[in-house]
Amino acid sequence: MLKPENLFAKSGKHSPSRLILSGLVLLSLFAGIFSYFSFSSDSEFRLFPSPIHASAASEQDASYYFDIVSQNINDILIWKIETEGASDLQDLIDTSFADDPISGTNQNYITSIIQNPYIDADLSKYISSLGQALDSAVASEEGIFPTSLQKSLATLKICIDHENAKKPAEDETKDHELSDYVNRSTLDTAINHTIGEKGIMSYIWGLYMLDTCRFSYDDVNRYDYDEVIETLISYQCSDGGYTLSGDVGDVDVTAMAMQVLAPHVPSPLRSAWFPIDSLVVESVSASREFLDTHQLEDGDYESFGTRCSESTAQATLAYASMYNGFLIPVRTDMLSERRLLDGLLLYKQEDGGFAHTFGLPSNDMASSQVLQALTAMLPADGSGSINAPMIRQASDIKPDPGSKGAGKGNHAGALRIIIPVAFSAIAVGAGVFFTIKRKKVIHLVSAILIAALFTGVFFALDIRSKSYFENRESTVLLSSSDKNASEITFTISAHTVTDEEIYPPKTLYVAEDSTVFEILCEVCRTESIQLDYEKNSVYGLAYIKGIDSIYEYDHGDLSGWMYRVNGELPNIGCGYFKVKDGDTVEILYSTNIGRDLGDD
Amino acid sequence: MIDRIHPLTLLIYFLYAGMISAFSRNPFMHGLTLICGMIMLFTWNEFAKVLRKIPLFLLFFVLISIFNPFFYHNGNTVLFYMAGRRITLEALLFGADSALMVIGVMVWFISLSHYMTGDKVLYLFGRVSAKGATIISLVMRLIPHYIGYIRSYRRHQKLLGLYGDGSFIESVRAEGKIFAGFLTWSLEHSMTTADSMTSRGYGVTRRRSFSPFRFRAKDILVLCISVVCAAIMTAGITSGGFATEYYPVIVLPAPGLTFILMCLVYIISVSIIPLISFIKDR
Repeated sequence: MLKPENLFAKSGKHSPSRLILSGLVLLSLFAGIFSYFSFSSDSEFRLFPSPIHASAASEQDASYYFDIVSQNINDILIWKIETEGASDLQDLIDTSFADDPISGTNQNYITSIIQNPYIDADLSKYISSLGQALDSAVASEEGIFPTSLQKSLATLKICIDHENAKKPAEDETKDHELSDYVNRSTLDTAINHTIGEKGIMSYIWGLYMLDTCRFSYDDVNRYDYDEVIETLISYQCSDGGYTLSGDVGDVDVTAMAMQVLAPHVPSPLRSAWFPIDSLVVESVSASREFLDTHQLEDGDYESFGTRCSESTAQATLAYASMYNGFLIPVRTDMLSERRLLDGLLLYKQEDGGFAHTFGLPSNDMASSQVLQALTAMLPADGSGSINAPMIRQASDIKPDPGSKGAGKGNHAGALRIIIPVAFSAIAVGAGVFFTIKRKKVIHLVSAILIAALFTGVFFALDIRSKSYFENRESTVLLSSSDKNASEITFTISAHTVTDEEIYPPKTLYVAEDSTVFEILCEVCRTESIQLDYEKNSVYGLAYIKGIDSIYEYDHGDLSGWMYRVNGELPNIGCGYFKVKDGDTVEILYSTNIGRDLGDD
Repeated sequence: MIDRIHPLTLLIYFLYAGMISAFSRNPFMHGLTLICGMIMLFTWNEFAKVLRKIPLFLLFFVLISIFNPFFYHNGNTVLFYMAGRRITLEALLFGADSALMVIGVMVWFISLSHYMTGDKVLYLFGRVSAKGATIISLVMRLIPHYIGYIRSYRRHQKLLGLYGDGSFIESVRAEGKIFAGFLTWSLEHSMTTADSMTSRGYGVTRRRSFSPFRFRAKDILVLCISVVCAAIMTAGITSGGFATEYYPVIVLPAPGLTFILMCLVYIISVSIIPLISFIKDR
């Protein structure tokens, strides 16, 4: 009789069934590990999402460069919209951002959206929300962090200016001011009680606030500016960098200091009039040299020994700010020459967001800073031809629903967590039950091993739902606009046995060096054609057993699937044959081992 | 009655009853075979013992059913994708049908092994290969004999306190000791057996065999029923319109007159013999 407890141990204390069970569990674990490794050599299966590499530096074409930038801006915004569960960008601003307006990450997104000349968003709700939040935070007992107040006030000013600029020219009403949205006391606190309160960062953000908000002369005078700039420069280390503590420069802090100092570099038309001007020029030049020397081979940067996207993003913003400060004549050339885009794209994740560093999932802070950096790479006046999709209106729904696996991906992801958790819960529950009942730990151990086995097998088998699998983005089939794509004509036909067309001849754009087998798999996947094959993932061998329910040996002993390229039947396996541009690939059913297909 | 019929008749009858539907590729026929096999089980077995086998059958059914879709990816209704290949409802149902067939055959063979005792096997196959039959019957005897010996050895070891303190390594060591002891004993035992066979004159002269089985009138009746019905069924199956198409979509055959007639022939031919046996034995 089969009872569950018999699976773990017989009532007899020293039954050999326990030995057999232990042996079986060990054997299965080895099998699981082996299958994991054999599957992991398959590019389809990855335990962790890995960064997507794109080489922009090899492409000198400016419009191609802009296309990559705008595509990635689009990806980040879609990723943010999806993770926040908003319906579109306007919804994201009105709900998610307006609910937590003081958050630095949200402000990064807001400033990026404003500075993006291709996006038009309505910020009125966010502005009033931010003003109220600032007033209540300043009035509250614990107060607000000085740098946070400085950054928020600057963001508020940028938002107000943006809304003012949208007003039609004939509109005679007065432009809105900061004081329309925040109390006088909040402004006073920001001007008089934040700068220098918290070390170097409060000088950086304080200068940023003073520059952005352009307070009237009554509030702050030139002397204050000079003092702030001088104090900030006094923090500079001997190597040209800035740092929070110690005497070795840090990329992040240096880049941020550069961003606020660069606008104060005097125009080349005007000689250094004030003594402060030459001080700023010296400091910014030294900082630039610091950033130049600290860039890594890949184009990115590291902070405190860890390569991270935030450092690269800040460095990009620093280089971009030098353009505004008349230091570099052409911005985009400079940015592409420094290979900063390459450095940023190292951290891109498959879901569209960016990670903090390698091996980590997409991160909100990192994505927001990368978004700022990418926005700074766009032409500021909105000129230039951009072909890649980008959210152009705030109310735009996601332009390319299939591209990033949207909600389906999330759903499938949840399933992939729930099922192993359920396996483990059942097994551990059974283990605990028998441990208590029989007072033996071996039950719990075997239960946990079995749970681990099930989970491992589940992941190794890469189980996916039909809709997710068939709508997944293809790495082999590309769009016609892709420059790396080879153009081929592809067809699947069993004209020797049936009149029905399985896949009529069609022009496909496939990735370079893709094999006939890969293309066939992708076509059958996206077109939902039945396909059965045998594959050895180690050697790349592939054998097609059946397509569209027409199998080998169905029409005689010599029948089966073959393939023909440019009218000839190649003598190597379809897993090895790499297609070239302009090839005509036919997958054909033969009833006489190729003789009916024109092979001698 | 069944345990007194001739071994050849018995074999042909059970082969017909258990295996004829395996060629039909029809789930109804497979189910019918299974039901008749279960009835056959009930005629000679205790009710509770049969019920106790049912969970095992169910386990077999589930295992065989889910085995097929993982290795055969034909079919139009996709349940999900596994390692890039589709897992289909059609393959799952084909697996379920095969499982039904296998369990049906299994149930009939349980009955066959109950009625086909060792002497009947020896009588049937002794003429084909005398040595082979001897070896088979020896082996058939030895397996339960050895298992019983190992059990008793283990019991003795435990009683003497030589089995270890119950830890994993100790029990492995004790099992190894038992196995070594068993191996020595079995070699010794086989030598004793060989000696005793030699001393009784094995292989000295030409071997003669004795069997109590006679071919009687009822054997002719059962044999006739089996062969004629098997011929009718084979004709029906080969005439077509009887098999189920599974791929790419399931097409069940329409139950026509031939199908109903064949089912009736099968039910009557298969159930009449256990029925008579059941009544006569009471």
